[in-house]
Amino acid sequence: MDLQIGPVPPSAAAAVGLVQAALGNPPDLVIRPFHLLGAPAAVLYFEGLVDSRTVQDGMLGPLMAAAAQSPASLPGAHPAGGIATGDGAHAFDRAATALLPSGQLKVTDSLDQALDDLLDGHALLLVDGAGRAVTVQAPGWEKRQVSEPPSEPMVRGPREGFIESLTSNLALVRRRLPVPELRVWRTEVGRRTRTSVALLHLQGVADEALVGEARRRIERIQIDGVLDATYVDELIRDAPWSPFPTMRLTERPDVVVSQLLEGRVAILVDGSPEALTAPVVLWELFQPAEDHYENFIAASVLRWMRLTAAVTALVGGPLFVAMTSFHHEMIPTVLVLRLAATLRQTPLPAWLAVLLYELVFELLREASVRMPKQIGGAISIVGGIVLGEMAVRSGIVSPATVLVISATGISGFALPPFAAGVALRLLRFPMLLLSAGFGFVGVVAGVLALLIHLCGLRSLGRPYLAPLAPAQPLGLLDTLVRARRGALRWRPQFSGPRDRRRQAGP
Amino acid sequence: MTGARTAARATAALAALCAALLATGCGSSREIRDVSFVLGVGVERAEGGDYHLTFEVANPVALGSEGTPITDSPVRWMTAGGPTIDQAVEDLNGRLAYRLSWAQLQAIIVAEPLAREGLLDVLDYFTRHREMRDSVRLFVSRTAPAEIFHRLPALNPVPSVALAARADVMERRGLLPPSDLRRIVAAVSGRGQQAIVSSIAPAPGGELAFPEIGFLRGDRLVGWAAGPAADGARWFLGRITRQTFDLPCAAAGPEAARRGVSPWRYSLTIGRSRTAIRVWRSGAGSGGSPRDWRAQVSAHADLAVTGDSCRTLLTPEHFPRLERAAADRIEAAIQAGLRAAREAGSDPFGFGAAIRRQDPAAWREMEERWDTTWWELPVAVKAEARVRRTGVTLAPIELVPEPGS
Repeated sequence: MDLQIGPVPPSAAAAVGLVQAALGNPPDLVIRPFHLLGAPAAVLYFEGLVDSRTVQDGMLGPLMAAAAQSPASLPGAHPAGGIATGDGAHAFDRAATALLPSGQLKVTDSLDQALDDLLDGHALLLVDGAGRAVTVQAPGWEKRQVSEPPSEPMVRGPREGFIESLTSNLALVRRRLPVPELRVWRTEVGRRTRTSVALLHLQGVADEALVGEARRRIERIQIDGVLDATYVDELIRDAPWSPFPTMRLTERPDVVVSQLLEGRVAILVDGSPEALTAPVVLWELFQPAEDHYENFIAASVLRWMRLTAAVTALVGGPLFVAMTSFHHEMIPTVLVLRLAATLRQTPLPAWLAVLLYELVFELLREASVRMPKQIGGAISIVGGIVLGEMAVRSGIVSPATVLVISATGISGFALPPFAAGVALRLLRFPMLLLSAGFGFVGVVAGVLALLIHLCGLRSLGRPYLAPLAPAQPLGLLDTLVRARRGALRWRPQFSGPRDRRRQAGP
Repeated sequence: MTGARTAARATAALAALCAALLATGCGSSREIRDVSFVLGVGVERAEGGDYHLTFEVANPVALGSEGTPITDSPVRWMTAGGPTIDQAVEDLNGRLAYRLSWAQLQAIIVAEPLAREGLLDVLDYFTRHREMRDSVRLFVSRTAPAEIFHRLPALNPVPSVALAARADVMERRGLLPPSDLRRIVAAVSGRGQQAIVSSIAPAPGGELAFPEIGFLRGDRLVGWAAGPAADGARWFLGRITRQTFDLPCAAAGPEAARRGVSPWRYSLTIGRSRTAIRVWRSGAGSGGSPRDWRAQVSAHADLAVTGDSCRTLLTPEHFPRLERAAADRIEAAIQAGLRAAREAGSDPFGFGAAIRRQDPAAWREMEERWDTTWWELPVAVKAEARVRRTGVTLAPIELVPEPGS
C-alpha cells in the first residue's frame, strides 16, 4: 500500500478512527464496539467480504461470553490470580491465545498490515491499551459453485471446472494430487489488486530450471492490477507479439493435473476460473482433454481431422482465391465450367467476395457471442437465410464462394476453443490478401513465414513445435496419434522432466 | 534492442514481400469470370500456307446453375487463321469479349497433312504456353479437325471433356498409346526412340474411334498401322488390360475340336499384361551395327476365360494348349506391329534407347543411321500366357439330352 499509517495506537477508539479515515468512512464497514474483560474493544469487518455468522459465532460470541464470566475462572487465567479490570493488554493476550477459536488468526502491531487484512476479508479486533490488533480470517464473499466449464465442454471425462476462488481451485487440484510432492509457491501480484498467484509443480518430476524460470517471470511483474489469468499470461509470455498462445489456458483441474504429471508448471490466479500451464506445444492447442478419455483409435483419427480442419481454416479461402484468380488449370474442367457459369454473373472478383464474406462471417460469430442467448436465434436466421441465401440469389456472391467460406468457417469451429483457433482465424486474412496478390506463390510464402515464426517460438523457453522440431520420436506417440495408454511410458521430453518414466515397464 | 530488431525484421519481411510482388505480379491474375476456356483446338494448314485453327470454346453460362434449364449450347465453335499459331489465336482474341485461356484444354487435333509436314511448331507452341496442362491429348485426324469436333459424342454436354474421358479409359486399358503432350514431346525429343500418335476418326453411330497408330520419325508422321499391326504395336506401349479376343476350339486340342462346331470358340480376356524389351551384344562384330545386336521382346499376359462354347475347360490338359495358342496369337500381333514400324522406318518401341542405355559408345556409332538400319536388328518375340481365371462357374452348363435323341 502507498498509504502509511504506522503502528496500532494504544487507544482502540483512535485506531478505529484511523482505519475509518484511511478507508474514507466506507458505508459497508461494520464497527461493533464492546467491552472485553472491562476494556473497550471493537470488532471491524466489511459487510459481504466476511461471513457474519463466523464473526458472530467465532469472535463476538466467545469474547462476550468471556466478559460475562468471572475473570478468574476463565481458561488461561493469570497465575497471580486476579486481573485488573480494564487491563487492555492482558485482555488482548487472553483473547488472542485462549478465546478466539479461529485457525486463521494473526496478531500484528502494524495498522497497515491490519488494514490490508481487513480489505482481504479478515475481521479485525482492536482492544484499548493493547497497541496491537488481531485479524481473523472469515471470508464470506459470494462464490460460484464448482460447475462444468462452459468453454471446454466434453462428453467424456470429469466435469468439474475451476471457479474464481484461488483456494477452491487449489483444493480442486490437491484433491487429484494428494501427494507431498505437489509444491505450491504463492505470491501477490498487482500493486492495487494484490491478487494471489500460485505456481504449482510436482517436485521430482518438473525441471527445477523451468520452475525457477516461471517464478522469476512472475516476480518480475510490475502492474497495478491483475484481474484474470490472461493478464499474467500476457505479462510473462515468451513472444508478446505472436498471435499464438504460448501458454495453455484451461478451466479444467484434470488438465492441470495431467500437465503437472508431465513435468510442467501451472499458474493459478485468484479471481480467474482459468489456469495457465506451460510449456505448451502447438499440437496441444488442437487437442482437447477429451482425447485422453476417448478410445485411442478414435482420438487419433479425430486429431488428424482437427489438423485438417486447422489447415482448411487457414488456407481454404486463400486456395480458392489462388485457384480461381491464377491457376485455373488446377481445377477439374467440369468444376471450372460450373464455377465460371456462376462467377461470370457476379460483380466482385473472387478475392474481394471471399474477403467480404469472411468478414461478415466473423461479424456474425462475434455478434452471436455477444448476444444474449434468447436473441441468438435471430442471428442465425439473419446469417443463414438473409446473408447466405439472398446474397447468392441476388447474384452478389457465387454459391461456390459461400460454400468455401462455410467450409472454412466450420473448420474453424471444429478446433478446440483455445486461442490457437483464434490465431488461425485471424491469420487467414493476411493469407487471403497474399493469395489475391500472388496466387500460390503468396500462399506458400505465407505458410513458410508462419512456419518460420512457429519454429522460433518458445514457451517458457522450450521449443513450441516439439516434438516435431526438434524431433523427439517418443513424443510423437502423443502428437501425431494418441497412442494406447500402455505405450505412453515416457513423459514428453520438451518440458525436460527430471523423472522421464511415466510407467514401469521394459 | 529487441524493439529495433523487431522493426528491422518487419521491414525486411515487407521488403521481401514487395520483391515477391514484383516477381510474380498481380498482373498475371485472371479471374475465372474474365476468360473463355478453350476445350479443344484443331490445327491445320490453310490453302495459302497459313495456320487454320478451330476452337471449341466453353460457353459456361449455358451450363446454367442448378435448376436453370439448358437452352443454349455449352460450347461454341470458332475459327481463326494466321501465319503462326500465336497470330491465329490473337486473331480470335480480337473478336471475343473474354480472353481465351488454354488452362482447360483437353485435346489438340492436328490434321494429317500438317502432321506429315512436321508437328514441331504445334508441340512448341503448346508446351511453351504457361497456361497449358501437359496432360492435354494430341490426336491426328485424317479428316478436317472441325469435322471431328462436330462429331464428338453427345454423352456429355461438353464434347471435348467426353473425348478426354474416353481417351483416358482407353489408355488405361492399353487400347490407346500414350497420347498426352508431355509423353509425345518426350518421345519426339528423346534419343533412340520415336514418338507415336493416335489417329482419331468418326465411327459409325456418331461416335469417335482411335483406329490407327501413327509412327513418327522426328516430328513427322511417316506411316500408319491399323488392325492387328496396331494391336501389336500397342503391346509395346502400354499395359493391355481388359482386351478380349477369341480362339477356335481346336486351339485346345483335337478333343475340344471334335466337341465344338466351327463357330464355337473360347473367349478370353487379358487381365494383366506386361511387355519387356531386352537387348544384348551378339558377340560377333564391333557392336557398332544393329546386326551386332540381338533383341528379345517378351510379353506376358494373364488370361481369364470369359466364354467357353467348347465346354471342355474342366479337363486340365486343355489349359497348356490353350495358353500356347493364346501366346502364339500375341506373338503374331507383336510381329505385325514390328513389321509395320519397320516399313514406316521408325523405331517407336525404344530398341535404340535400350542399346544406348547398355552401350552408349556403340550407340553413338549407330545413331545417325538408326532409322534406316534398325530393321537389321534381329528381334525375337516370345509371349507367354497363363489362364488365371475361368469364371465363377466350375462346370459348363450341360443340357439334359432330350429323351428321343
